[in-house]
Amino acid sequence: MELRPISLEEINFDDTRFRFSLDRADEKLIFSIQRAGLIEPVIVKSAGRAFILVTGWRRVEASREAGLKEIPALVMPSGWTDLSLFSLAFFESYPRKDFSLAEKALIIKKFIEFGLSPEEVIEEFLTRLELPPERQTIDLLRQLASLDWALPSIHRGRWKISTARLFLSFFPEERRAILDLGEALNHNQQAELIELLFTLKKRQKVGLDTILTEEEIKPLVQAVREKQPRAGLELLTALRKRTFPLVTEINRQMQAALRQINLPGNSRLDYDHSLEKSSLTISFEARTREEMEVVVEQLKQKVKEGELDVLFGLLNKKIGK
Amino acid sequence: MQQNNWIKKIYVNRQVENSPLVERIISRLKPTPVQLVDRLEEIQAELRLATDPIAESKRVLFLTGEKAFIRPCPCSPGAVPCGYWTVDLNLNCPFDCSYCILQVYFNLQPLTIAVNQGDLESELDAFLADTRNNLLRIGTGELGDSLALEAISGQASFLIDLFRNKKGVWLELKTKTAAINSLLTSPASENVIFAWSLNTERIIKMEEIGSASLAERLRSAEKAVERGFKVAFHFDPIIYYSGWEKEYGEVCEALLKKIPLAAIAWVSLGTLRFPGKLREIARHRFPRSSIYEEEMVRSWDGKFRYPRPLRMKIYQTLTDIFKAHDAGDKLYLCMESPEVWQNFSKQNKKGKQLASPFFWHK
Repeated sequence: MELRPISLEEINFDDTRFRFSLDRADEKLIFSIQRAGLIEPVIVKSAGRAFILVTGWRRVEASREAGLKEIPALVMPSGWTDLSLFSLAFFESYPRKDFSLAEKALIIKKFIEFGLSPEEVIEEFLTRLELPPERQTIDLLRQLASLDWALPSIHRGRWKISTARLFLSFFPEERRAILDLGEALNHNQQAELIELLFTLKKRQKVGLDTILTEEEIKPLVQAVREKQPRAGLELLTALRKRTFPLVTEINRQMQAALRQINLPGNSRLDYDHSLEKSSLTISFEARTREEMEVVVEQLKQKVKEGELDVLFGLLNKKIGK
Repeated sequence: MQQNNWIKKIYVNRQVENSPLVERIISRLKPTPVQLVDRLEEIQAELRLATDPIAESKRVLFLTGEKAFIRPCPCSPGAVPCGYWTVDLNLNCPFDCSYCILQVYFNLQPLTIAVNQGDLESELDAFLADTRNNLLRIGTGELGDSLALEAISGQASFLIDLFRNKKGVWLELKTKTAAINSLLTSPASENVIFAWSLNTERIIKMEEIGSASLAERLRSAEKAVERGFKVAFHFDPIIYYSGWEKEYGEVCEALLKKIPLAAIAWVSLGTLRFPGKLREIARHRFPRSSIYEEEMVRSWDGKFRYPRPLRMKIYQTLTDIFKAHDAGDKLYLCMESPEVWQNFSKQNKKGKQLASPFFWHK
């Protein structure tokens, strides 16, 4: 291989065969290159008069932004196969990069396209990428990698494989709608959004469109599309209510009842919001024995007068016919 | 599951290749191909390549030796334990139930038969000598169906003979099959109990793939009773769906009509519960099933369950039916919280309360 400067104009940016990183050049890298130049050479493959980037996409993009004309490059000998070059690109990143699921999907898809067998991919790469070493993982990742329009969002959202699997079970047009709705949410919220929509869709045996046009949901969807602040979170709350009607309703009644109870001092009443327990927890702070005695006495009085009965009633509520 | 032709291949652990049981099983399954292996991992490497490794693991048989067979049933942390013990001569199950926990519990485990069953005899003697006080219940249906592989392995028959007339212990053989005829040729034993997992016809058809119908299971139970055996039933998992009340009610009524109360040793009730990982696997493997999409909460042990008020309603509904037939005292709950147990005991049990809600405990 030969180390030499190459012109950025000589790079064929349309040829992304070795690219799997979905990170873009950021301000820090551009600033650093503006000040110090590109220190670490990229790796390229010669293709006629042009070069194909093997490693260093982010650095090259930043160099372009920083106004560089030339960058240092290692030009690989022509005998290297695409598979060898892609392996080189992978292992150059592997020790220092925490790949997202979207990047892992691209890596696996490309290894297969460059000629590795599924057995070799399972044996060599899946465990190293912290993925289940099974054929069906490869199938899922290849399916995911084919959605190139969705990969940047999946990458930014740092999705887990379970979220991706659910996402892929939606129809193609539904997937686009989901990504739009989740755009302003963090990765946990995106995962929850997909989970709730999947559950409702399957429970009601309807299409996603039916759920998104339901009376309570439709205005919230509209608000998300208009990029109104907090609209995504409000949509999540409404979907939770639809998915967990029994628990939501009892919690709503509990909260309403709690607001009616005037507790002494700084005491607090709490309960298990999953409703697994029917007990109430009372907590308060007291600095002296006398202070404690006063609060306990007042609490006793509340209990005696039956003020808490409504809470116990709700926590022991029986479902009728 | 009377036919054995679903088995594509037999793997034999080289260490047990000369076992007489291995020879018998291979000859029963002729002409199924046989391959000697040194380690389970060799089989797992092949299973990994299948598009559905769990389904594939149910189509290959592994004959091997096990070091120990008797273990306490793990129950669920925080649930009221019933003190059950398991004896596992087989691992994995040829049925493919959408709710089966083995999909998570096993990692590429082929249908496995322990052929060194003779070792169980000494283990059992030591175990029984070491346990006192309570009457023990021990069963084989935790890591696989007790009878589904009987035609191949004869393990249930072996166990019945081993446990026959042993004092202080009940052997329970839990199944979703109707494959009981061969076991009814030998005389009944008071401490051997055949048990059926029961569900509504709709759930059996949709979710318990490969298993016997409800009518076949009840008919088998009748036959066992006719031969003098005691029987038990497990409504587990009870699944909530539109129409559950009527359909589970019909199953209870059918059971109580066909089986005399005196022959019923116990009946357990347990609603659907599962760790999150199972839902992930099952949604992918059973896209037509919607049992995972009802309202569920993450409960005290991290598993998903129906909300407590709904579980209590389900238990109450079934309990009322059993009580109407004077069979309320046959019931117990499986993997439930003290909270739910308390409610159940209050409405059903006389005398013994939560300290020891199980009637087989002294």
